Amino acid sequence: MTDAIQAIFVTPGLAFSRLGGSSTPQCAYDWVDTRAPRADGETTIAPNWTLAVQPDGSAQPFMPDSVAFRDGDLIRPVAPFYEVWARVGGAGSAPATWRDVPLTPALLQANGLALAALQLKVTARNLKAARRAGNPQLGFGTFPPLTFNANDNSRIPILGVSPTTAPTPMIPHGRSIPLGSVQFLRSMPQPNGEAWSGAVNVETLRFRYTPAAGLFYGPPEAAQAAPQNGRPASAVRPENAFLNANAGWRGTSTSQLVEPGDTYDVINQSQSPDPNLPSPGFGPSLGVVDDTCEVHFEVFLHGGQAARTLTALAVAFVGPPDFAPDRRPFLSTADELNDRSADAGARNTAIDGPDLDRWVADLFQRVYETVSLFNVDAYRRDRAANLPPDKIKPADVDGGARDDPKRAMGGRDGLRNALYKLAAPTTDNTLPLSEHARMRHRALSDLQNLIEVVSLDANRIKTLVRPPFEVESFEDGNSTSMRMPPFMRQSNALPLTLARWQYDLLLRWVERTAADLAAGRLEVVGRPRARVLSPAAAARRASVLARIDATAAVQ
Amino acid sequence: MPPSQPKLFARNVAAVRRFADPSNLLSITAGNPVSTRLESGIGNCFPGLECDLRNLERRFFPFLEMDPIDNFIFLASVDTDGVAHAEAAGDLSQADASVYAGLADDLKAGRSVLVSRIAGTFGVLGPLSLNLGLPALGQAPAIDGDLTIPSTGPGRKPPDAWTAIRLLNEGTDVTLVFVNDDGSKTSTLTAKRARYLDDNGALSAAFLPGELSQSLCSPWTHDFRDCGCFYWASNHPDIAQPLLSPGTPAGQPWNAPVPWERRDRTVRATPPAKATEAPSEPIELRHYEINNRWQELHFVVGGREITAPFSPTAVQGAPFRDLTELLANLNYAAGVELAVAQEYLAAAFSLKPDSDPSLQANPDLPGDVKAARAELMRIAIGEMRHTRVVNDVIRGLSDAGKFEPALRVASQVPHQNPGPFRPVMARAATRQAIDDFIQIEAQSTGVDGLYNNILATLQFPPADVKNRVTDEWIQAIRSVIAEGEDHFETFLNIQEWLSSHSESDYLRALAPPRPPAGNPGDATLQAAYASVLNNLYTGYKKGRFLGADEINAARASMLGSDGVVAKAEAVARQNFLVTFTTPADPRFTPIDPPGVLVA
Repeated sequence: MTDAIQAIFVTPGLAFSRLGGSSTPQCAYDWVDTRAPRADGETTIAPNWTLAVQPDGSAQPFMPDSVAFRDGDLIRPVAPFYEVWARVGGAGSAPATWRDVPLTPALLQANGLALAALQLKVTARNLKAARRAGNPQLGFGTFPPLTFNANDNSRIPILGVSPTTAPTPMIPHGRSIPLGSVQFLRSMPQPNGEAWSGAVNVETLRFRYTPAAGLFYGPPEAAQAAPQNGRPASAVRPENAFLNANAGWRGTSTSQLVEPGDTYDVINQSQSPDPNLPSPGFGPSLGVVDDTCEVHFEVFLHGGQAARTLTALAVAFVGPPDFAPDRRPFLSTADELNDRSADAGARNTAIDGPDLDRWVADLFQRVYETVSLFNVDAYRRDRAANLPPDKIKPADVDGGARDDPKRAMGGRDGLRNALYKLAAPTTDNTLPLSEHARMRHRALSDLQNLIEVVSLDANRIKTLVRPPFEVESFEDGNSTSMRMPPFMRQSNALPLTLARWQYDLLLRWVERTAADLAAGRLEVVGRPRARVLSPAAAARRASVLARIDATAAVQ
Repeated sequence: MPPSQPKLFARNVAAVRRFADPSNLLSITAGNPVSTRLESGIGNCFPGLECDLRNLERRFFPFLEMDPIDNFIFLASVDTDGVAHAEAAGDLSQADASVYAGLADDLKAGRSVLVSRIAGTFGVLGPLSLNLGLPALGQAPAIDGDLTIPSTGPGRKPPDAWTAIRLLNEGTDVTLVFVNDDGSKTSTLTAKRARYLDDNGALSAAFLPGELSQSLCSPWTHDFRDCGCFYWASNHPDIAQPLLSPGTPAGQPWNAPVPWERRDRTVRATPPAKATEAPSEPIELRHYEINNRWQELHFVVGGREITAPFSPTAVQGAPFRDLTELLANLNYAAGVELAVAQEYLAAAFSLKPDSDPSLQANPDLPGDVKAARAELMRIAIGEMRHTRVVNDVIRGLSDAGKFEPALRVASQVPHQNPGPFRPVMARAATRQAIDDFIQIEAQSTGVDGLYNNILATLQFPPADVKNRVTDEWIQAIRSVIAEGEDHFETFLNIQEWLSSHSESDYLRALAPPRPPAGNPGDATLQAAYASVLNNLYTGYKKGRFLGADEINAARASMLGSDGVVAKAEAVARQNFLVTFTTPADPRFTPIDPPGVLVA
């Protein structure tokens, strides 16, 4: 008997889509370990099976030779695919027994359903102006949502318009802001024997969202430069300067409900000569919007054995390109979501032994990857807190070579490691602090070096890494100590920390490592290590010795 | 080839909730680049690039939408339809429904409603009951509340209202006390901290389209230009090595980081000005200007700005400009081969001989030393073979009768860190020396980087090279590169074999001195070395076939009881470093890297 479709879901449930003006989407690529040990970091990117959408809406997998991010002047957009999956099980069976399988036309047919029973509803919104102005009529998107069936394989444009209820629409009637397109792909029989057959299932029902080109729109005024207002260039192209200046976005000053409040194009960007006046960044809006949006995809499966409509939701968040695609954040959106879920502790408990080692090594690799592109010198200059007396060393680690020794990460910062003396910037080395940070974190991304840190001082990591959401008395949103990560802000502008689950895992690893060192179960790099040759090294050694012996035998 | 296992960990709760089969957790949806995944987004948002996760906290309590600002929590809206459905379904008590209705009425009447007290389990801080800040309400004065900085140590409280909500444990009880703006009425609700993701790892249906991105910048470029939050260097570099000018190899001054978002994007023969600690805003793309120029920003891979497609395996070389530059680099490449061969030989002869009784102290040591020495010798000989290959290519590219054998030992060899060159250093096979050997043989760096540029020139030849290139020369250089990979792997193995021993266990001396002037053994060695060079010169000059006798003679003089190897061993037995002195002959004068003047 055929398993009945009990539920459906979409994978990924949440995905990022990234703007780009090229008509060719970004190919698939993954983060992988680099094979070059002297490369700048442990991570690189490698192409993966990419789906070329054919004119008939089917997907043709291919493996690119390389990862191209642009076509001439235009950046390739990141256009995610979403697969529709089903949970199947016998009638009346317990959900725990259901299996996850890709939804295919064959599975639909086996459940007595036609392809048209699968429906997609698309709702796109850009509410940024609406939120800042406190006026919902300034939102734009799909009014009404787009709805179509899985047997429609055409590429459907998503056109952003003002709400139909808006008395003075920001986007005039008859005009629209393109917000990308969506397409249900044509399912094809899955072949055997193709190089990609094990990696891609072209039979799976999937849809693709392609974002907009990354254009900007505003009222006619925004197409003009106004140097006297600190606007040396136009904010939008003339052909995109058609928004209604009287709709409410142009001329609105920031709402206190949105922090930070200064993040929109204003009419006058000139610096105010009067320090008592508000920053120009908070002034009246020029009325500019972009073509990013958030898209909610609701998938419906009507009818079937359950005689009810099954639903699933997925979301696309449209943002700018990831301009450093081989550099991973150490606190990602996924890490933040993990911290907000109830089972974070249980999943932490499940990580131990070599998995914990791998996780810690990966965390420090990600730290290095961020540090490698981070101007620590500039941020220390701007964001280092003035330290209170109890945080200051009597002697200057740097021997007076650097400015502001009593500010965070200065020569007299009590958290500084006395082994590392830093120099002042020179013409040759303009960023000595950044260089030092890269050097140290490159080393610490090797677990052996991290173990050495623990061996030298079991409390060092605990002292140096800021616990979740801690803020000291001398810190605020603009200045921090050098506790890690230093000089960076969290989501609400206070000093940045690891997520709680990350911090807990890190400290557990430190405690375990310290205990292993104390018990002699671990040795530190630099000392002769216990003899454990890798299989490759052992095999090569045996081969070389055999070769030498053979040579000796014939002489 | 498909990539190996992607670097992801099964921690992504959005995936964990989606799949019943754990093996699916790390799978990337077919066709999607990893930049679609949540792991690629910056988690700390102020306000963020793709979404502002703080908007999750606006719906931490069922049926309510709230705005946490500083130490206040304002009620923004009540989902009265949701309340009605829950009450009808028996999921909500009539009493609670009545409280919700009262809150909705207050808002409808234009009254502000705030949370005056919140109690619950605040993650790492544990169970707490906290008074929140309140403005002056009615006759009541303003209240600061319990939330304040510092927030450190045992018994600490959250520093602000958003952090307090952010810390609440999903699914645990939260009690809120509400007060309206005339201070006349309070009401209380208790419910579980809401789930932000549904059972499939998708966003909860409580969040409306656009809600998570509503607080992002408008337009996004406004903040992208100068955000002061310093949290997104992994997606938006502060600094990077600049895009290389065409035909320019990576190396100084092109390795110094420059401001990534600079306004002047012209690619010149010299790199852009280095980044400094000074504010970079004056030289960055301006507000408004960036709206029309953001696609000019370069992608950064491996710390370097790029415009060409990136391949982790393809040749990354940049063609030289013309035949002169190509020949200069080939001559230098031959010199590098000679130089590293000398370094490898010095290292090989620094190892204790098999007969040294101290090796018996460790059962692995004799084999490790024997294997390491043999491999060092093999690679050194391999480098000599490369010298011949390069000379063949130079001959093939040279005008008839103009070929001059390339036998000048390089004064410096390519090096990555510090780069781009380091002096040639004959020394014992210390850990540092083996480390350097690995580096010089590593892919895309060291010698490999030099040959990649040579290969790229042969594959994409400039006009004056085009008619001289043959498949044979391309294949010859490819073979050199391929052997470099073998050398690289071999040095990794040597490193591993020796890593379990102290350096003094396997070296005759950690820093053996050079032989003193007039040392008879060394004099014999240097004479033999000069003879080898002379034979090679004569043989190369004649050509591969006509010069075979001389080349064979050179090879023969390397081995045997009277060969260079035996003479070198005699020097090493005296605990001296084995070095090779360049004869005072213009044919063998050390060669500098092209374009580099050495003082």
